[in-house]
Amino acid sequence: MKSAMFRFSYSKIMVAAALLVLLSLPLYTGSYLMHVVIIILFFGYLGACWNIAAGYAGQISLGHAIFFGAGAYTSTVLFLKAGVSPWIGMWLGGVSGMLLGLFVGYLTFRYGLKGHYFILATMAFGALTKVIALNLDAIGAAQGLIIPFKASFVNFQFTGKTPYYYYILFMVIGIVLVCTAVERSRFGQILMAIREDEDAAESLGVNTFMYKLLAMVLSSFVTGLVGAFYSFYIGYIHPDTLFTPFLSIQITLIPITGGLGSVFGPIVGSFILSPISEITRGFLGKFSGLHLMVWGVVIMLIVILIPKGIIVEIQERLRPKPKTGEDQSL
Amino acid sequence: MMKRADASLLSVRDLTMEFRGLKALSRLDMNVMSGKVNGLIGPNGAGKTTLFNVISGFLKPQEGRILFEDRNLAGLRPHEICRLGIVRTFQIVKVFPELSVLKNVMIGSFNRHKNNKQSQEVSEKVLEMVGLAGKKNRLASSLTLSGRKRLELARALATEPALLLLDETMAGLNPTEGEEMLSVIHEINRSGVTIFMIEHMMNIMMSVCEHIVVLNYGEKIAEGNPGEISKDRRVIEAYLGEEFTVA
Repeated sequence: MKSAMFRFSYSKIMVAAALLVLLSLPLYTGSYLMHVVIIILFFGYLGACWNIAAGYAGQISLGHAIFFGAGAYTSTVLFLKAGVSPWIGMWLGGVSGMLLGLFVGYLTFRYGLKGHYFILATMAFGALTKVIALNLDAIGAAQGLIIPFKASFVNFQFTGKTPYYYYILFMVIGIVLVCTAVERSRFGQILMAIREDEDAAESLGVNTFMYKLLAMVLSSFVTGLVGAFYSFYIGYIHPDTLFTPFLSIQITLIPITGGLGSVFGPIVGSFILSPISEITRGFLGKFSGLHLMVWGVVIMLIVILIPKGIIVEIQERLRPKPKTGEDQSL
Repeated sequence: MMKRADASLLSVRDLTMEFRGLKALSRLDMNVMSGKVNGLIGPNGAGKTTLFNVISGFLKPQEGRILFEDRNLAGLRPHEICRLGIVRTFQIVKVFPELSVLKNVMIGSFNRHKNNKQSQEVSEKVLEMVGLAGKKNRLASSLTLSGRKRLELARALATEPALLLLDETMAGLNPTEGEEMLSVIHEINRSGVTIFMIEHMMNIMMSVCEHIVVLNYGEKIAEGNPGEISKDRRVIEAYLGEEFTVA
């Protein structure tokens, strides 16, 4: 119901004001702050993608990093080996993320993995993909891939940060529009019904298998889409950074912090969590991993301050309710 | 619409449902009569809910056929069966707690209506019928048990079924709420929907149902109108114990 709040006009004003500030940001910020905001938007985008499968359809994936990684690797390899422009590569990256999502979704849903078992299965796919990527020479294996810097629009490489900033900002606007459309559509309402009670939805004529699969396909496609951005912004990709379980968890914590199953939740969550990691990394860089400790504290506070708490939220609101034994009993 | 006096809408033939060797339903033959209020009774553990789970596609039977409009339903998935016109409610209510009452019903109406506006109109009509129209914007989780049971009924009805399976819709309601629920069920039946219901209270079943099936240990022990059922020796044995009838 959080999302419904955004239909009030004062919320529209807030969104418009935030948009105005974001659009004009490059006019009055330095390159460091811009980098921080780019990272915030980037993680907000990823959180919103995850939110389609998890927040709306209730399928909590802890392996979303692999869809993103697939997008990053696809666009990078195509660029390095075949000279394909990242502007095309990003779409192909989305498609490869989607195919991976289709694969994971088909197998897990086909065999009826729900709740904890679905989460564990997605984690397993994440671990598996990382091992494969670390050993696949064709994509650089454990050395990763370096993208030689040649500034040009076609190469999606720019000397300043502003073009990257606007790119990711428009991606965020795009995903917000996609999520709004999903939320208002029959499709989105059916996804929410599946999240609330899968058996009940199925009994009312909903092909839950197909809808869950569609949610995964859409979610993994948009996740893969942003892979190219990461590759060409950072210039270097490696299985340890792209397929790490921590990235999957980060993608998960951001929407949970901001509000699951809501359009702006992931973006808001990213504005709370992402600066912490960027700033602690920037100022206390020599203590690597320190930002994780700060995250830990923040997440503890959220658990305490948000009445339902993260864990209960996950258990109660997201996970498809465990089959009540009573219905199976005689 | 006119229907032949005793045409069956759904017939179960030679149905067996086993759980690891335990026969929950054993070579069951029975009929659900078209246009009527049909009842399913039997002691605890007789296999009543199992039969509903099999008919609605939540369980796949090992043997037998479930014939509905010349089609065998055995092996179909629940959403396909709903599409064909059979919908069920659950013994333990399963509403969508964090969706509004109206949205709950709209999910049901999407079964026949693909467009948001049309499905909203249908849903509002159905909510009116079960007496929840005034609560359509509330969250389903905020309703009382009686409210949630009505909501589940409305949601099932919104799928526009030919056959409605009601699993203890009146259990847990107080007498007034039970009366109201009964009159809603009658109204639904009058609108042309065949009812097949499980309920524990014998007096209600005997007065409401026109056709009754009695299960005991997974086997049918009687089938017929309430008059026949109440005189049946095996039914009396099952409910009151063997000694009572022997004596």
